[in-house]
Amino acid sequence: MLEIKDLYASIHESPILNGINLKINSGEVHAIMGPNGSGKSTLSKVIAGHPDYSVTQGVIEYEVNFKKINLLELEPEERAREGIFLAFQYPVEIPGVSSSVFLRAAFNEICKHQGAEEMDPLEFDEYLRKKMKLLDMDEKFINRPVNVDFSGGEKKRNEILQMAILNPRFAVLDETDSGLDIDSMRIVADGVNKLKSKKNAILLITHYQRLLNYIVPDFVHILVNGKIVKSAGKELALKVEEKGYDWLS
Amino acid sequence: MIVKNDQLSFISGLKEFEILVKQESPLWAYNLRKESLDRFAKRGLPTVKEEEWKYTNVASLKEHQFQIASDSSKMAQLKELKAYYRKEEINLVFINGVFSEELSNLKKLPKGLKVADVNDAALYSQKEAAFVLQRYPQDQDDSFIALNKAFLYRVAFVQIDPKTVIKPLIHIIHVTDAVKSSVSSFPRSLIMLGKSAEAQVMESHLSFSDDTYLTNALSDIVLDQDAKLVYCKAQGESKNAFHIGTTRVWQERDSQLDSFSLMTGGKITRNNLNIVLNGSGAHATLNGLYLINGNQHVDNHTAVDHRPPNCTSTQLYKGILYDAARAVFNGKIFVKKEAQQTNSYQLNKNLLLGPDCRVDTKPQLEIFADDVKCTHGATIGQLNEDEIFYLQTRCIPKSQAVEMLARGFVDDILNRIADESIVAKLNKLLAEYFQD
Amino acid sequence: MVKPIQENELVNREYKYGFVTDIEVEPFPKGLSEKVIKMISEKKSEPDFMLEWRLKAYRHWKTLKEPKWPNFKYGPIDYQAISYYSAPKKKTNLKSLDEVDKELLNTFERLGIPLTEQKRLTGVAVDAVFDSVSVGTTHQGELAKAGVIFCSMSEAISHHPELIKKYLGSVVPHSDNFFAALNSAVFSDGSFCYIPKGVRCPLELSTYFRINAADSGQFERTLIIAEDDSYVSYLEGCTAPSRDQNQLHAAVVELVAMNNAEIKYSTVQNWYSGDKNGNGGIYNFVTKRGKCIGTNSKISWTQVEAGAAITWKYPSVILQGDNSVGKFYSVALTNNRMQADTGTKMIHIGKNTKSTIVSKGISTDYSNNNYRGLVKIMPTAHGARNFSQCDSMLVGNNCSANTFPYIEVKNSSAVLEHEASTSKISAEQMFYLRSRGLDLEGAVSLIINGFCKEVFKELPLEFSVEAIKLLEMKLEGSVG
Repeated sequence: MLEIKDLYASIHESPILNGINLKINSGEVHAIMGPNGSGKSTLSKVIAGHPDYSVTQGVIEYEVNFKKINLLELEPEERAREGIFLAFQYPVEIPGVSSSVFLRAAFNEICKHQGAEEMDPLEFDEYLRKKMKLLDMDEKFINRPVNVDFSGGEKKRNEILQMAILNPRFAVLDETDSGLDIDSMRIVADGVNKLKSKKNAILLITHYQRLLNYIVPDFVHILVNGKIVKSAGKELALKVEEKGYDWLS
Repeated sequence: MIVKNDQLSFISGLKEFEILVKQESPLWAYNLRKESLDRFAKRGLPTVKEEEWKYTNVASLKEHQFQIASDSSKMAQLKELKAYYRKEEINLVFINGVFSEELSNLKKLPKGLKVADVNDAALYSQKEAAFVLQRYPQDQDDSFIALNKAFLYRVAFVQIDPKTVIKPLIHIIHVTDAVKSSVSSFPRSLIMLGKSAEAQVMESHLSFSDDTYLTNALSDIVLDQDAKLVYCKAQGESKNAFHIGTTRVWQERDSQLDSFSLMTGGKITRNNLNIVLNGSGAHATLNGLYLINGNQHVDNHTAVDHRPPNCTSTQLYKGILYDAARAVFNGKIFVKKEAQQTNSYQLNKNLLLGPDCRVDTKPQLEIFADDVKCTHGATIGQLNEDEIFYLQTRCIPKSQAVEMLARGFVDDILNRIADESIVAKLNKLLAEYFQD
Repeated sequence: MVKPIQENELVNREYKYGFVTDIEVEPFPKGLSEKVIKMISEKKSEPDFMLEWRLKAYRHWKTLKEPKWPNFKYGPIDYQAISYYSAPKKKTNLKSLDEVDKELLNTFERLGIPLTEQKRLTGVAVDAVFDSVSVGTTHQGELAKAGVIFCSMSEAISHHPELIKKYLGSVVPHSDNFFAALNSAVFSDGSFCYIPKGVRCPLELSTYFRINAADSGQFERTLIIAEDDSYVSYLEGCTAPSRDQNQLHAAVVELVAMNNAEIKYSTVQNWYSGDKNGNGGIYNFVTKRGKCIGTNSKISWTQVEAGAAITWKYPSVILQGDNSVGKFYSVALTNNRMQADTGTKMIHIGKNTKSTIVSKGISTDYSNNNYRGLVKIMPTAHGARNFSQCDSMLVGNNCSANTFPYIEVKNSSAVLEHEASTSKISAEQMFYLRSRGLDLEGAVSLIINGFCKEVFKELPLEFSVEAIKLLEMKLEGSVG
């Protein structure tokens, strides 16, 4: 579904990613782990198309309707409409814009793109409430401005709610677990597991192994200094938890 | 040299002042006084037509004759004054504008601390002090700063060496006891903290009489990099006094100012607090409280000038007005173009407990940078009826309920002062309003 | 005679109302004197009292100086270089609007305001003012049936002199300020509305102002009177050609609300604002004030200010009747080199009077956007309440946003709350919204809508859609 080939990227001219290669098929869950500053968040931002990062080399091939396109050539919103989703590590506050208005606008953009009919506010409200139950979210959330005065846990849950609503084909979860207490993490992980299917794929970016007890990955990759230095099955995460990263480099 | 002119008709004793300063004054001081006097003569007293004085009319100053105080006459109320003392503190006491050695305790100062009453000559020999004196462009002096400078002679001087931490409170006390005639005094202080120095300084303006007099004060504070100052200005003047004061604070990188102003006395009070955040990472807290009754008039003006990026300032001014008292608050926040990531907060809350109170408030934002978070607000209102009722249903008489709730309103801000000895002094000034 | 349009006069392509109508006008000398005022009065065949009124205002104006306190920078205005009257040559005795000059009808049609019988907007009665005169008013018959008078000011002066004598200048006296005095001396046309007792006006009333001629100013005057228990909703819109000379617009609007009456006044102001470098554009110096005379009366001002090189305007309410209510909702957007100093005054006189102020300022490019407001509680206003909220949004780092709220309380029973904040459209917000599938335009629109929603919801529906589009168009290119 998605293949990253020899990807180099930098921010303000300092290189962060130094030749990433990664292939992800439908139905798979991949996890990327690595020490601070290894380039994990950069990878997620480059996939979503953050304008601050420049890709100096490489491609990200993404399969749309059995055709391969280079994701890097698309604007962030075009990627989103093609089913790329990033759950932000630090979700952005948008004062004044209510969550329901925002979510409907985003949802209808994808409907429009897929040629489906847009939902009116009433229909959408029903759809939204159904999805909110999935994540055990408070009703009050609907009318609050996006992420404003949300607790850390609420913000992360809101990210997964958006994932549930936009129903992406390829989702990157950037440190969605950090800052969550164990109960919130369970709710978030349950939500993600319910959204997992044969048709989509998930890339988990995490610092801690504990999330991987709840969302079980098919593959674990270790990122050090902007390069994947080791890939293996889920047992690799446990090893890293036990031994740290030093033995890998 | 000092030519009597119409604008100065409310000040007398100019000749005596001239004789007093003549022998020892250096030329620069002579010139400064002369230029400032000219400036004042040209400007005159501000009128309500000027935006900065829209709500405070000082024309009534002209109905009086304020004699420039020249000797430290005997204090009649030593006992009352002593209540503001603590042995372990460093006291610098002025009576009617004149230094009192016997009431001050400046012996055995900690290392790295200089506290003194210095004359103009001694002041200028200090390189840093001279620099501070020239920091603000003279032509921007307002009428009252010019007037203060026109009578520059003695200065309350506090200097703390770099990396020096002074624990005891440094307390500059100005007492006015105008037994014979109305007096005027022009207190000037200069407080300088070196790099990473820390101190707590309080300036009190007190009177234990109901005399009519004029205090026109000017304080300059300079915080070098990483310096931390807790500063409190307490104004407990006579209820017939005029108090017009300006405190200017200059803050370098990472310096922290935690300031508090309490105003309870005075017939007409004007208190300016102007902060320049000149170095990245600097923070200023400006908290204030005013409790006034009768026909008292209190005017607080604050100005915070955010120049570099990443500075923060917070302001909370609260006031309770009784009877026919009148309060003015004007808070300005400037955010210059370079001052990205500024975070600035300002709130003015007024409680009207008298039948004929007046409030004029003008919180003001001028913003030239886009990545900033600024909020300001003002509220004017009465005590919550439900809260009063609740207390009444718990057997508390209404008048006591009102006092309790007013006390709560006050404590909310007094509790933000960490230094217990400052709080104790402020509570003395509030004794008129609260029985505890 | 209007000069044919020069290519280089079309300085700003983004402003779609920048065209000039080539139409023959009656010649009128430039400059201001008693003679000129007499000529204006004569042109309009006014009764003597009107001429006297104008002359009194003119004599007072001569003693005044242009105000310098707003936060503006602009060159001196030469009041003798302005033509104070400009009108298309009139055909005599028009029987219906369909007989109005084709060029004029086309002009208003291009502006989206069709006037002819077949095409006119349903549900909205329009008075169209072109330079100094009213071109025509639609739906007059329907309004007459309800007893509502809605006509041009000139018509009102000749047909309803008793109402004019009673109310003209009763809210904004000729001596009020420099520009109000100037307007009182030279005002040419404008709209007049009178809603009789107990009538709920069946249509939205609206006036569309168009400045066309070069070197002329527009000085319109609007007067709305709502008698006891009546209701009216009134809208105004404004545009002007793109010219590289500044033009002066000094209008006066007066509203009078009696017992239980309600007036809603909405403005979408889109005067030409000058080009990127600040050349040209309208100087918009306007005095708008309403008086809640009756008990329980209500006046609300809603404005979307998106045009004009300089805007100086403080729609105000004098809350005289007990329990009267004043409201002010404003969105002011400045871009390029625009300068706006706008806000409101709420003067509380009666008991239990209430006012609400919601102001949203958006500044971009090199513009300067100021909120200036006054809430004054007089000693008689027991139980007065005010809530104010002034928010600014900055887009880019070369603009400025200032807030100058004055709060003056002379009664101890007053309760007031004022809040203000600044925010911004940041690159991170944009990325976040785009990563959820919204394009740049959609993202900006979402944020602007969120920022301004309290104001937009006060506008009549068609206007609110227009207003949002207008803001989005103005912001294009500033964000991203």
